[in-house]
Amino acid sequence: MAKFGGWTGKTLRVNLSTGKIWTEDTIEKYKDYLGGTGLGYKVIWDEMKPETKPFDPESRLIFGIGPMAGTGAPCNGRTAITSLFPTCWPKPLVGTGHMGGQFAAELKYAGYDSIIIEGKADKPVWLSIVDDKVEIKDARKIWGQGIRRATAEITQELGPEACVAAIGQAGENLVPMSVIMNSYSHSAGGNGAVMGSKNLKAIGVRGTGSITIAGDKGEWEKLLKYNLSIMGANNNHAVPSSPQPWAEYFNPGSRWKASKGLRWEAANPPIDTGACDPHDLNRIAYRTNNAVTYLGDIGWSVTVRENVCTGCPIRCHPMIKVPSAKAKYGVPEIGMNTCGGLNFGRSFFKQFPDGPRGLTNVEACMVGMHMADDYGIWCNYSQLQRDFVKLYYEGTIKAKISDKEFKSYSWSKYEKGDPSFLFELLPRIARKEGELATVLGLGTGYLLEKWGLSEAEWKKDKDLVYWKMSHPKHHSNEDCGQCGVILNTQYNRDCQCHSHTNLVRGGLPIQVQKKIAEDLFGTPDAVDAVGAFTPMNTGKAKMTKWSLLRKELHDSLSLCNWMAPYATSPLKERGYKGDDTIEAKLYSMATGGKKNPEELDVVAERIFNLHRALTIRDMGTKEMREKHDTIPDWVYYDPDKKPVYTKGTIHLDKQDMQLAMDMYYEVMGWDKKTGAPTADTYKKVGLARVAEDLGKKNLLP
Amino acid sequence: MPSEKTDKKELQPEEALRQRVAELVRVKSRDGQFTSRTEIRQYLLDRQLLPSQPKEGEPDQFQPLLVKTLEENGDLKELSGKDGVPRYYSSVYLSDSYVRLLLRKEGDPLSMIAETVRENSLVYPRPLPLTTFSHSPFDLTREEIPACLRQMADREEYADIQQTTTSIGTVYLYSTLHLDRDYASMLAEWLDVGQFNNP
Repeated sequence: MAKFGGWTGKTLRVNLSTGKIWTEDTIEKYKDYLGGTGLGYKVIWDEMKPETKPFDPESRLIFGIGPMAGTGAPCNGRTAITSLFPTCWPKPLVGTGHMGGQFAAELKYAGYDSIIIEGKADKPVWLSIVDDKVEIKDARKIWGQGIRRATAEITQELGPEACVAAIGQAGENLVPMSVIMNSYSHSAGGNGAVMGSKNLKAIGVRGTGSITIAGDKGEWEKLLKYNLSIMGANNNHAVPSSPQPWAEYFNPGSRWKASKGLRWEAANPPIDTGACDPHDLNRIAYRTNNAVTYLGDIGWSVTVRENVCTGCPIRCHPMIKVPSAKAKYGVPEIGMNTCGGLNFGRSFFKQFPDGPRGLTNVEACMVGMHMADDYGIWCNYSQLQRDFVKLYYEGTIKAKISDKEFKSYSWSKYEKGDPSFLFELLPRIARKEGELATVLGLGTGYLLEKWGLSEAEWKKDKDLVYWKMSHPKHHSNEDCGQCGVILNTQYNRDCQCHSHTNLVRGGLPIQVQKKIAEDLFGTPDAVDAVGAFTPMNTGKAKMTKWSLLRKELHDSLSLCNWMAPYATSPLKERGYKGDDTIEAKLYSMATGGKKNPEELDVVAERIFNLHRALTIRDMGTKEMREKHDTIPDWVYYDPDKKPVYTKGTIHLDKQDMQLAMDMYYEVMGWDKKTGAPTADTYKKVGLARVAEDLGKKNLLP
Repeated sequence: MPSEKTDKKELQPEEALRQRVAELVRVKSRDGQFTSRTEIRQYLLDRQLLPSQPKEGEPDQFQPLLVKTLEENGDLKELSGKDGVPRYYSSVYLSDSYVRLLLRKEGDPLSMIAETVRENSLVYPRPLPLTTFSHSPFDLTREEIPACLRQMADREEYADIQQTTTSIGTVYLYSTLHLDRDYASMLAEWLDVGQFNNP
């Protein structure tokens, strides 16, 4: 077997029912799927039967990590945790929780590319991995504890450099809306309860090895510097949020917040973020401030610094210090998380006494973040909170739970926007205490089913942004018209794709975006300005395919899709173009298995077609277009009844979306009628045996 | 980077002098400022690099020095403001659009607001939050901004500058030359509320 860089060559396997621990040859078995989600889908396809349920001992939980993790490639801290998703309604299907942090690199340094867990321990256990010493250890002492206590206890044993991925009480109690979290605040949503069902509290890893780079070290260093040179801020936003002397453009919505005089005020001493000329690679870490992105200008006053995943200069994970949160609510004054994790607490409230961007809003974030990150509760991209708000304000909660239970909550506190309300709600979700908390922990689809509510109604409500199968949209038409909508039809959870939004929301003028789109997709019409959408065209279909495949590629290589693909850059001298061949360059040089971008895209196509095959197999139908790739009604709705494709509206046309799906299926090589991949397409991407298996079940078009 | 000259050859005194002038302009550009002739002259005088008065019978050395400095350093540019007085900057450190902002700032604040709003409405396209003008490089006070808007409302040449208010009360400005009301309102709501709620 040829030697490769990037991979360690060993995939760790653990059967918790038997206690057996062994390894597989990664190259021999999984190289064609890279790692990450690709490896996860492959294991589920090969080893799980369609009738398996998420919490069955036979169910697999795969910590999938790719060949880029631990290499030094920018933003290589990604772990893709694939399993059946217990929140997916009406039937759990394959899904992946994505976490950053330090877990991926630490596991690689211990000598393993990925971990595949199966079986169920007869008592609570944790998995200890210290280089080649792998042990299943008694976790009864930490079972029932939160993620932070579990992490601290295991770190005490393995040493301060160890990385721990753990579940909280929510995962232990098989609450579907639960996370697996490493490094205290980097979470993978949706499969905490699968880990809990195996009686597996945590995985602690300490690795002292390293990753081999196949290529020349000097060339590798040059490539890394080049990659850094084309990076913007978080989500690859390519322009600063305010005018800077060096910058031709700016965009108030950009996550590139740095500016001379704007300081991380809670640092000691405060740190001036400065002008951050994009040519100064040593200042990349000062560009982004997501405390400001999510909290508004008050974010500057609470920022200590930005926390980080392995190999990431961007630092999208703000650490904030809010002494009043400690004084008023007793939570630690310092907290850190990003996006839905940071917003967890505040998103439950409709209003705060000091307005939407005041201190109470920040305090609610702190209370929610500390509790959710310890109990291990998942927000489902804030669908949990949106559901809660709707259910309360429409009187559904009062109608559906007992009077005694209703009165056990302080609703006046809630309506006033008092963060202490979260102390009443969140522990109950993690413990499944009472009807309300239990249904909230199920995920939207199962909640609606249990309370006899109509999913169709949820699909009409524009403010809920609920999509399908229990999950919300994630960068759909509001960002990218038809492309965003199609991407949101493709997964069994929110689609978590950022390839498209990184291009269109990065702050560049529309004409610059169009020039870049023309280079990438053959026509400037592939992108529209927000709120000035035009009918579907071939460029948009190509962009959709590119967005989807690059997402799978990143999730399989362990590169961050919240940054890559680098379609744009902050460099005027490049015409703001990035370089979407960077993944192939990194892969080729790190592993030595040379692939050009087109060849690597075929691997990504193989991986996503396998996801599609799994969905078809486990749904038991090839009618994907009708039964899976559905679009909620709110996409076609405009509150002001503005005509579609006029300026000032983001709603789309139903007939045009049918054409869009046709064009998308065509570029994917799928059957237009069913939306299922054809046998030829499966064969073309190296999945001939998958096609054979599906053919036997009459699941080919 | 022009400021990090690694060439070790010894510079002639006149050449070294020109490099110092170039460096002065670049440093100020990096800080987002033009450099005036007066500043350059004063810089040289303070360091006794230029005689305070030309020697009798000799021409002033300053103007030729400046001309030669510009010739030798392609990134250094000269431009005139509305007052006709030349300013100097480095195009490496000051972008064209920032130069335009600085020139606008030197003039009437009403015009500065209007031209900036028009440019944003045309180029991106998008409305701009009022708060933009309280930050660098505009630096208007929170009292000055509404005062400017009141004055603009009475003047025909600013009739295209309109306001829209988002659902959380943030005021955005746009130009009707490039954005219609509905579109501007939708974009303002997206920028102010939508992007927060759709991270």
